[in-house]
Amino acid sequence: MGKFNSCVTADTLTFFFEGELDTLFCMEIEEKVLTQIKIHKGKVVLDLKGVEYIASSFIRLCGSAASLVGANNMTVSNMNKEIKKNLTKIGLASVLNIK
Amino acid sequence: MKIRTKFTLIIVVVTIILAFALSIANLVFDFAQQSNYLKFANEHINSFTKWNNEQAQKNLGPFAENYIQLLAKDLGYIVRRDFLDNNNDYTYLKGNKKLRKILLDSTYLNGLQVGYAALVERDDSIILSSDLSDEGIDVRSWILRSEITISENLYAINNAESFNFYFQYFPDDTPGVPDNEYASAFKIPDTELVLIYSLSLDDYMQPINDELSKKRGLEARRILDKINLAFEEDRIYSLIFSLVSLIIIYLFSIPLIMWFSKSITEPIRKLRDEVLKLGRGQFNISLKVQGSDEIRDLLGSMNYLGSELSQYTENLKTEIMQRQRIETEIDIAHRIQETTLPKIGSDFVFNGFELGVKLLPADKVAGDFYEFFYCGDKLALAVADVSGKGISAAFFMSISKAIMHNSLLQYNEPDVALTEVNRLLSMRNDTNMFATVFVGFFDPDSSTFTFSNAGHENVLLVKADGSITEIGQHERPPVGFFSDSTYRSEIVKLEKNDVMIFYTDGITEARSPAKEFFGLDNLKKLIESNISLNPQDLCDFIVDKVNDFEDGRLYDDVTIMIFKKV
Repeated sequence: MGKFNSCVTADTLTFFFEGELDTLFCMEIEEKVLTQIKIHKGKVVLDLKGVEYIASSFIRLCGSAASLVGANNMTVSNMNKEIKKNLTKIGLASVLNIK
Repeated sequence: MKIRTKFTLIIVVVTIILAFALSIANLVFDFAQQSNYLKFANEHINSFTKWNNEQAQKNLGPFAENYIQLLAKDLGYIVRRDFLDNNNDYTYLKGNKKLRKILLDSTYLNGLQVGYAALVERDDSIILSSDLSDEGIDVRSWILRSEITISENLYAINNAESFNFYFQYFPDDTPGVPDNEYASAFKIPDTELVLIYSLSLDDYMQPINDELSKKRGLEARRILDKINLAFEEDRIYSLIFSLVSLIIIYLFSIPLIMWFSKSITEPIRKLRDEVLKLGRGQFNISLKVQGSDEIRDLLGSMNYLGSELSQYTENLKTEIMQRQRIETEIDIAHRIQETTLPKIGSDFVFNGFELGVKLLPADKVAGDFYEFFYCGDKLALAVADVSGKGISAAFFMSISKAIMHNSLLQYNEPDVALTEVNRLLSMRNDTNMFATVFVGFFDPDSSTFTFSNAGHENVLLVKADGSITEIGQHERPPVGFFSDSTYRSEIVKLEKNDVMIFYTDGITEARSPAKEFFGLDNLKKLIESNISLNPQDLCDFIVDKVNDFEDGRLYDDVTIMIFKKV
């Protein structure tokens, strides 16, 4: 099971994720994350440091977040090689800012 | 044990203990009273004895004084006669047994020695004494020993024939207790001798006192017996009273206990009947709220419980019905989904290839799907994975599959078809659902496979020499994700016995109970070592392995499709 919290610095809303972001976890956090993004209306960073696994539901969450703030204002950072490989495979690396 | 029996036993035991305690208390009180009465009687008798002694002393004192004066004088004249008859020889007197016996005999009254007699040579020593041990003792030391102050009187006797005096003598046998003595000194005429005679009134009174003491003891015993008898009767009356009281208490308490216990047990009995009804599923109970506060609370709670259970059961029934309806609908959806998936039937034409396919859903309905059908002479092949799981994924899967099927039929080119599918799925896709898709067309005439990949797992191409390569690294987004996504096509030439393996991430991301991934390498090894199997057997084999790896608890839908060029 994953964990997450968030903080706002300047114009950036950062979400920090940990653990395994499986389908169930993503369903639980989806509304909270998207609500915060709607309120923030600025740049969004999804920090995946400490994340071991992402389900396709998390990719859907990334897509939903990107559709709210625009792909250019969305960054996914600090992921491990395996997750980066998955994001690249599905073409998100060329659309979102991947660091 | 019934409450009524318990109450009865408790009352009986408590009453017995109470009666026993009261009896003990009564007994202790009686003994204390008895002791007090006896003490009072003894004090009364003692005071009487004391009064008797005082009276004896008062009345006998003058008589004793006269008696000893006469006796001293009489004895003095006896001594004088003997003294004069023997030529005034003092030595004759000393140790004279006859005179000593006379002195000694004079000290007895009624066979009891009550007196003391001594012949004293003035200014010298005791010549004769009724007490032999006194003879020869210096008068002064004798006076000191006797603690009497008569020395002056002995000297003063010159002026009188005799005189009486009273003194207290402290004998050695009872230290501190004085012996009341009456004494008389008689100056023997024509001599230097004095005869002293003393009488102990206490000794004289001793037999009387002894008798009185004996009488007192008897009297005390008699009074004690009477007191005992009185108390014995009192105890019997107390016992009878206690027994009668107990019987009366029992007679009154038993109906009281019956009534009291019934007031408790009756509501409980009714409560039990109603609880049994609850057990039989009859929740509409209505208990009459009566009895003590606790019982009323309990009955009220039971009524509330029954009402709540009734409501809960109704809700549960409704929920179960809804759930059953949903389950039924899911079953129907499952059957529909199964029917929408193509089957390799006996009428399916294998034109230069073999095909195997297996889909194992994690739930009743799947988000994965596969497709194979002929578009003209070409065989369309597709494997897709919708994001998420369950009903929502299955619903999106149905839409995606329908659009995909139509697009492939319409456009005959995988990249064009995917672009159209993406466009259609992106429209009004507020939930951002998407599907990864690997789609391609096999042309039997040219033995080529033209394919496009929308974010799906690469297809494994196993060449006839056993080498495995991955095809489809297009890095394009899933369909439905971004409305403006476009896709590209790629062509591979297939040789005889080349095998293409299409799969979803339900295989590579399968999780063991220890949270280990099945992994792509593991899949490749399985394929390498079992490539000789026909495509369907290989599909079944791999899915079984994955299922075993996850210990039968599938984490995601598992789909595999294997195409073999023959």
